[in-house]
Order: sequence, then structure tokens, then C-alpha cells
Amino acid sequence: MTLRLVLIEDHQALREGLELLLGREGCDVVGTAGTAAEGQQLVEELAPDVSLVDIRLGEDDGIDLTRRLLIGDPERRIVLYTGSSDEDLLFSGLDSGARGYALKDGSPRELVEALGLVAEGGSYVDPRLRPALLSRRSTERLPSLSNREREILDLLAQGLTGEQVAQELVLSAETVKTHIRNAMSKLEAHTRVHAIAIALREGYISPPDDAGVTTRD
Amino acid sequence: MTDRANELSKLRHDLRTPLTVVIGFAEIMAGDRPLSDDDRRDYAERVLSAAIEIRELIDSNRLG
Repeated sequence: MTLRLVLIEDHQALREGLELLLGREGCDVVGTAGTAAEGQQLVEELAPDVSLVDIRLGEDDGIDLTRRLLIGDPERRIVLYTGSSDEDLLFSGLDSGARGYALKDGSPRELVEALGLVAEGGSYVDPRLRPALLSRRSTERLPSLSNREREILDLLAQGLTGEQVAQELVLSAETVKTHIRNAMSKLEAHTRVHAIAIALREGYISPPDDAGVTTRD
Repeated sequence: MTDRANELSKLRHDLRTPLTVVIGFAEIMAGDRPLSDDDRRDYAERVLSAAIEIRELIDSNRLG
């Protein structure tokens, strides 16, 4: 199925370029906007499968826009897009509820992969950000995860779906969901990928061997 | 972070945006999929325009 996408990017040349590049990769770019206000209106009107939101939108802030869009409908799928690998920005982006975080360093194909994963209900963090996830030092004391919760987050970080995790561990899908919910609550994470990011940062789990941190529900 | 470090961090971000245009279209032009002459010209103009923007950013006094 063709991916219906709204693209919100203030840099005109990149916006037009991405529309062309993503179109060539098979996406249906149903709307583009250069400001947060226009973008919000488009997403509300067009209900795309996924929205790509630049973090720096001129005077506007793509992370604030993401928060507003998710207050309106928490099920909206949003990938934040940025040229910055700043780790505070990364965690602020993940805190906003965005399900994807892609860097402008990536190729159009990588971006399409990220958009596809998020549109399907999964999550994505650019693999180039793994060092930032791992080097983050936190002074807060986080409650310990159980061995089972670690095991499940570890499998999710390797790209398994919730259902595949259940099969792998011979558990019911509902039990796996409960463990994930409990782990997210302990880690104060808003999404699965946020929980994985924190678990990696705190050393509860090891990074996967290849690709980015990706999860599918 | 100092003001200068902040400015450099912002500049790095500003450079990546047009650089994404350069790399994206250059990859298409270097790829195997056939392109019409019009598309090739259009993409080359986009690369050129983004490259000029990068040069202007580098020449700006923000690095001085």
C-alpha cells in the first residue's frame, strides 16, 4: 500500500526536494507545509498515514507542533526530522510522543524505511544516534526493571514485534503488552522506542548489532 | 555551551539541510534508474542551488 505522507519542512528547496525524492521512492506526498500552523491544518484535514516534521521550522518548533498534534489525536504517527544530533534535542523529541526520529544525514531510502515503520505502528531512531543514546548520563535513580522486562525490551530493540516477542518467549501477547506497559511506566517513557532509548542509556539492555533502534507493535 | 559553540552547532544544522538536497539528488543522478533530460537538468539545478547556499553559509561571518 502506498504511504500517504504530509511533509512539514521550512526550507523550501529541501521541502520540494523531499517531495520529489520520496515520491520516487513510492510515497504519496499528499501535502506539504513550510510552517507549523499550515502543517497542523494539513495533518488535521488530510489524516495522513504518517507526518514528517522538521524540528526547526523557522520561528516555530516542530517538537511543540508534535505535542499539539498528539493532544488532538494520540494515534497520529509522526517522524521528527533534523540535522542536529544533539542528545537533549533527541530526548526532548522522544518525550513529545513522536514515534520516529530521523537525521538529515540519512539517505531518502532510509527515510522511507523510517516512515514506513512508523506508519505501520512501529518506532524508529536513526542508527547514527546510538552513541548519544548510550553516552547519555542520568543522575536520576530509575526503578529496576525485572529480568523479563529487560528481556522483552532487548528483543524489541532488535526489531521484533510484540507478537514475535510473545512467540519467542512462549508468552501470551497480552502478557508481553503488560510487561512493556510496566517497563514504560518504570522508565517514565511515553512510547516503546522511548523506553528502549532509556533502557539503552541506562545499560539495562545492550544495543542491537546492526541498523537503528526499530520496533513494531 | 558557549555562544560560539552554540553558533557552530546551529551552523552545522543549517549546513546539513541544503547538503541533504545535494546528496539526495546527486545519488539519483548517479544511480541506475533512467532519467529524462528535463529531470536531469532540474536535479542538477537543485544541486547547484543548494551548493551555492552551502558556500554562502560557509562564507558568512558566523565562522569568523
